Amino acid sequence: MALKNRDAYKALEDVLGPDYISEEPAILDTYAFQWGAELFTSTPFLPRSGAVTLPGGTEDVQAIVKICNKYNVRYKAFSTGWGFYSGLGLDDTAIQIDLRRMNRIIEINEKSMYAVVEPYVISSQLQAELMKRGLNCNIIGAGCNTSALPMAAHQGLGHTAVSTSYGDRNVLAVEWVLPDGELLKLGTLGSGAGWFCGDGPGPSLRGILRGPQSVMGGLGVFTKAATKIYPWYGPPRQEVEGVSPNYKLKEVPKNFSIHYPIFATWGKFLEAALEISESKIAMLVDRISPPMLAQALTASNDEGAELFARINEETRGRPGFVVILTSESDAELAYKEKVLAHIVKEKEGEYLAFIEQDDVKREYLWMELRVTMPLREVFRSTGRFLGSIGDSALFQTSVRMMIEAMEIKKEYQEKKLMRADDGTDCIWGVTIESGHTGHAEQVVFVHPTPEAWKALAEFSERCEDLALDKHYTVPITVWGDRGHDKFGPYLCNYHNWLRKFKKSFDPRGVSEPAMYISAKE
Amino acid sequence: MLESYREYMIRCARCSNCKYIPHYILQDYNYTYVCPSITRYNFHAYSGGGRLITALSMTDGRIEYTDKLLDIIYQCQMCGACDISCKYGNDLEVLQPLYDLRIKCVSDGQLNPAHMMVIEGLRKDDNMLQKPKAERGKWAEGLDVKNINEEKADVYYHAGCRYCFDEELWPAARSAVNLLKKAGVDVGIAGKDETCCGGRAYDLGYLGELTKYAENNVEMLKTAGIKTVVTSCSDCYHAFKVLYDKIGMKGDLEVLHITEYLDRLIKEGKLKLSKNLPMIATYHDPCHLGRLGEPWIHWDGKIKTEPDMRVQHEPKKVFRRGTYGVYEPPRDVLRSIPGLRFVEMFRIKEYTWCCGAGGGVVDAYPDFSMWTAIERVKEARDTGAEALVTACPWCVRNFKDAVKELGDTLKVYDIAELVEQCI
Amino acid sequence: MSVKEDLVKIVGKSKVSEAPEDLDKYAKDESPVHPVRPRCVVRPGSADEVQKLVNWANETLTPLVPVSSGPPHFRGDTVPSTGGAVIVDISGMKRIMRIDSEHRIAMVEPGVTFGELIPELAKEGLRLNMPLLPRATKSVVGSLLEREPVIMPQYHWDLADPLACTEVIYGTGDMFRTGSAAGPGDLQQQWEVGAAQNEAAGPVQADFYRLIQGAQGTMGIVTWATVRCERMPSIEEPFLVGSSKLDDLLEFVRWILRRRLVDDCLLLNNTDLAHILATEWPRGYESLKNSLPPWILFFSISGVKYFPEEELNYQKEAVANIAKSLKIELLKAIGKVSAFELLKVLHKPSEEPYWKLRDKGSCYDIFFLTVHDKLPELVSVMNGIAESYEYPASNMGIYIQPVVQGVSCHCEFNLFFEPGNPKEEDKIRAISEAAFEALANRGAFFSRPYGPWADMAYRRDSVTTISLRKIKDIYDPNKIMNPGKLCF
Repeated sequence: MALKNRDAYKALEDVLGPDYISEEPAILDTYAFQWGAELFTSTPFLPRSGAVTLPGGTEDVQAIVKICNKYNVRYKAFSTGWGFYSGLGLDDTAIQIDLRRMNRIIEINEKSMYAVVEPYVISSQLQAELMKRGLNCNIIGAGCNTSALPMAAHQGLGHTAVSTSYGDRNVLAVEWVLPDGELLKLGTLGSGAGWFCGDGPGPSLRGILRGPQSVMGGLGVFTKAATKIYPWYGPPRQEVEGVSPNYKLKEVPKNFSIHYPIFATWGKFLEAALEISESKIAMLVDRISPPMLAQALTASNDEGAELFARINEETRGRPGFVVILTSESDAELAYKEKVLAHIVKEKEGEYLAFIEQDDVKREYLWMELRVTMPLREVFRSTGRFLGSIGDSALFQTSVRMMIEAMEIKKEYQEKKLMRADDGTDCIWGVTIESGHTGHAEQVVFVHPTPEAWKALAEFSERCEDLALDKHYTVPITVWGDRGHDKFGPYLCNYHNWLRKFKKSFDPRGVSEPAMYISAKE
Repeated sequence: MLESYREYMIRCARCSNCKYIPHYILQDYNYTYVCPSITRYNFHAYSGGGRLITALSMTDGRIEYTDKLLDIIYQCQMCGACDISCKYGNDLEVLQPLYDLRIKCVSDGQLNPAHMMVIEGLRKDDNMLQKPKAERGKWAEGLDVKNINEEKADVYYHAGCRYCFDEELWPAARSAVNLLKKAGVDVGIAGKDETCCGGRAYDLGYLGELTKYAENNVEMLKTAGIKTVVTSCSDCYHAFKVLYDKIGMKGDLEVLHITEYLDRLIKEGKLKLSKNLPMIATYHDPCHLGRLGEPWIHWDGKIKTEPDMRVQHEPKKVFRRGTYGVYEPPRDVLRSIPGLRFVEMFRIKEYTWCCGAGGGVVDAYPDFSMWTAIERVKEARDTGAEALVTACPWCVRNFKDAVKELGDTLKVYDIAELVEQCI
Repeated sequence: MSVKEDLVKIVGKSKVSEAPEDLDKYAKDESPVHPVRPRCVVRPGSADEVQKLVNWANETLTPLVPVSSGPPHFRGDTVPSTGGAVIVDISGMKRIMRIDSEHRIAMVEPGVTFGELIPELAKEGLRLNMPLLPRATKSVVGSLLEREPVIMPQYHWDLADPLACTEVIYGTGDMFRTGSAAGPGDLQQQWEVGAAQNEAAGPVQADFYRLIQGAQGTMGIVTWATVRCERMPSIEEPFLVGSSKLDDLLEFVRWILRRRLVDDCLLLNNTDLAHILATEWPRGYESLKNSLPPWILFFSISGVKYFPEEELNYQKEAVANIAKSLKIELLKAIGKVSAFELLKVLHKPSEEPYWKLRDKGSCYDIFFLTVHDKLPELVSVMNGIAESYEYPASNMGIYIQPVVQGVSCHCEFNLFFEPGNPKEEDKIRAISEAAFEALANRGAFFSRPYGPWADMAYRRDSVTTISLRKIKDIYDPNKIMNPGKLCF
């Protein structure tokens, strides 16, 4: 299949050169293949786009977008392109923009605590370079193999959100090719003052750049961004021992510790999580369920099942979360450990002994901080998953909504359309910014079959109905026309404003809106 | 068969981990990538995961053969890095389907012209370098070593095609034999009667050639009463140890790489390294010795998702994840060389960066092969090393050519050469 | 019907004024913007009335100028830029609607001042991340919407903080609630499920609040806002550091912020600090100022809830170690200034008269954002400009506020002058214009461009200007909301 508009293809090839554009079916299929495609096409493949392009820099991106506007060809840009977000809504009249060649770390400003990255810098790369300088970055929960751009991912929430916040809050200046091809430089960048601020002059255009969810390719192309970075108290390089898949740190870094407190009830769990977060002692407060913990610490599903059985003997279904404390001094760590122990005791909890073992700490601490385990946690089990229906307002309401959602989930688990949670739950969650906000979601494991994805879609819709009926906040499955048209009327008709933004900034409607919103009347 | 891997293909998460060294150990922005193909060619199809998807597309009849498709399939060194990086997190097979993909291409007559020439040469002269068969034994002239087809020996030293016909590299093979003899090993060679192991032909998709040469070699060794094979070539090591086992022909044969043997001999005190060799040296892990060198694990079962929907295997499957490759013996050998300061590169062991010569790339896409080797030479330089030491003649050749291309002064050695200098 | 009649129908007779003495109060402010008298002043008491006013303004194409703080005003944003404008003074909407101690959120109407909110928060064990000594009449919501810098950078995660959600009547007349306040459900329904209107972002794929913040009332009128609060510490200890070299202090500040060790953290030059604390002029002021080094850093460390003494102590030790490594001396008093005294002063609004007016009667502020490294140069440039217009640099106050957890700094030059003195006013105007170009060319970012800076700021960035006008066209197609401000 080839791009329908041959003039557009020729124009793109003239700009990029033949090495950086392709309409070869085999290549297009590797972009059409996505987890979640089964929901839309009943196959592992979304419809193929007409061509894939590989721009080398901002000028190339602008040229591509302008050609698309001229020839009315829809386009969707993505960084690592992981998930149906990067291909949904496309066909042979549209193109994909793979930003892989734009992979430079432009600047690390240690004094002003920001890093400027291109879209294909992945978080492990950035974190590795930052740690050499005593710094760190937010890494999203999907893993360090994803873009370090603070608006590439769906939400940009990660395990260390309690201390490193999340995507929406880490954006500083941005270089942005608008849907019509104009180059917008947010904040200080546009005024020639560098990268340190994305707001102004006057109102902040970060307002349309993203919200709790990003625009997922629907409003032009982000070509560079400055992201806030954070202090790191560990060693500049990590001493790792072992051979894949059995990596561990040689030792837990000085003045670091990791615990997994468990509590008798969800109520106590919530109280403890929030007290710990508010006390500012933790670098990480991460609700990982025991099945996911077992998957993370094993190299195969067989081993995962065995380890879960061992962990479950100890947890017996009691909810808990991971806490990582870091500090620069013995006195600081001693204080933080004391506070943590006090809160855990006050909330009638205890530390999971399994995590207290030295070899487990040495393996798992770095997994959490580098975020290397998502494949094991969520994909290996059945092949596919969806983190569904959470939000990012209050941790308490988010967790309560997930607990209610568990009851709905059980129906599908009994029909074997979703994997059972081993007698426990699969709620993932984090507190954000010392507990001011928080997020939780139900992690659902399915097989890569159309039936399973249909069940997942149905489950998500029922959870959306739950969110609406009970006035919980907006689930993260709300995107695209369907989601916005459903939720908009209950949220001050925000969707109408979103449509106006879309229409105004993308008058020809060529920035593929399937994951954002269309400008339809 | 390619179709038998479909359950793995559809479970590719498209996470791109196959492009990178395992993130757990990633420490430097400049040394992040582990797959030469995706690093060079950028379209996702050129990654391990991308080729898995391509295999799925073919299996499901979504694509036809085109020249570009064949380029995608063959512009890959079959180094296995993608397989290892994927298997850190997932229970999938990546490399095995890629072998079957090539086998399918060959059996469907979709051949690479450069590969065709190599295979024609193989069929004619039993070697992968398109050299006259009669010259195979020349590397050993004057070596005073048994021929296993004429005399009994305990251990068979297999030189391999590259060592046999690349005169510049003969010293390394000769060093290996000399060292074994010095240590009192009853070693013999096959000389001009040696034939290719068939391993590299298999990498190109020629299963028939592997089978043929496996039969040939195993028969020769059986006739000679050989129970132990040692080789300096990692490709040959992989062929004898892993591939022959995979196709059910290895039997009880003990297969050792020269570095394993030297390490053993040094530790047993049978080789004493006394001469000082002052140099700063780094070591390149050959793919076929390291991550691909771990023993084959037979499994003939099926994927099951009962009773709890978790993907498991019946019977249980132990995945080869690169854990048990040969990593420490070469390092121990280097560390025992007096005066040598050993420094590691950034991408090592199971996440080594390929030398560029594998998978038929050096024959069909020489510029890509060269580019890959140059990347590695630059990495070696970044360690401050004066010498790049490795344990495979294909790696040595490619690195020597890369150094020359760069106009660099980095010295390239096989381990055995250095060890002999210290005796 | 006349304008007044229309408005009386909406808000009632007592809330509409055309009295000249009333109008004159809004016709100008302490800034050098050109005075323009409004048509009348209306004082709505509810969001419903505000909405009706906006609808009426759309029908009649009448400019509206929202005002939430009481006088004096300083920036020119509340002075009409065009004739026939109606001042919408919402400073009378003074409900503290809700204080949610559990979730550390307060919900207030626009007329609530810092002086009114702070004690109510204290009763609930909360405190506000507040700006430096706001005037008594300063609206909390107004301050939040202006993105005023706040004095506890550790708790300042984003330049928009501590603003959370808002209810806004857009220029179209539509009511909207930003962030998690948008829904589902009305406020009561959200509270019943335990929600707290605490998440500023959203809903969903836009941060609607960022488009009204910094807008100087050109997008709509906010009728309530929630503000993120912090827990009141159990124990708090202040420190002072003096120096003649700004660089030395900045390096120290960089590290104590990076380590997240301090709460309050700000720098003042001796002029500003003396202005803040002096009680007698001119001698008391001079004596106080002369007792101080050129630069003073003030910071505090606290212990909040759990083992507060130990929390305080480990942080103190860490700060002391940093100070030692940089050869910084930590003091409890400098000259005639006591750290504890200053701590008390800074946690409240300014006493009357407003500290900036005590000397000459008025003050003009030139402020921008920049990074630490550029500050010394920018201070030097500003000093040079002031001197070139015969404004002694030593008379100029300088306030440096690290923001966004230390990513950047708000830098503010306070030019004290005599109001009503044409020569002085002309001088201030000239300095303001000269300063913008000189500072902007050296890395100063005027993220909040008031008055004449707006033109200069937007001329530097045409694509931002065009983009903002698109937003304006969406929210205020009839251009009734404070026309003439920013780039509108």
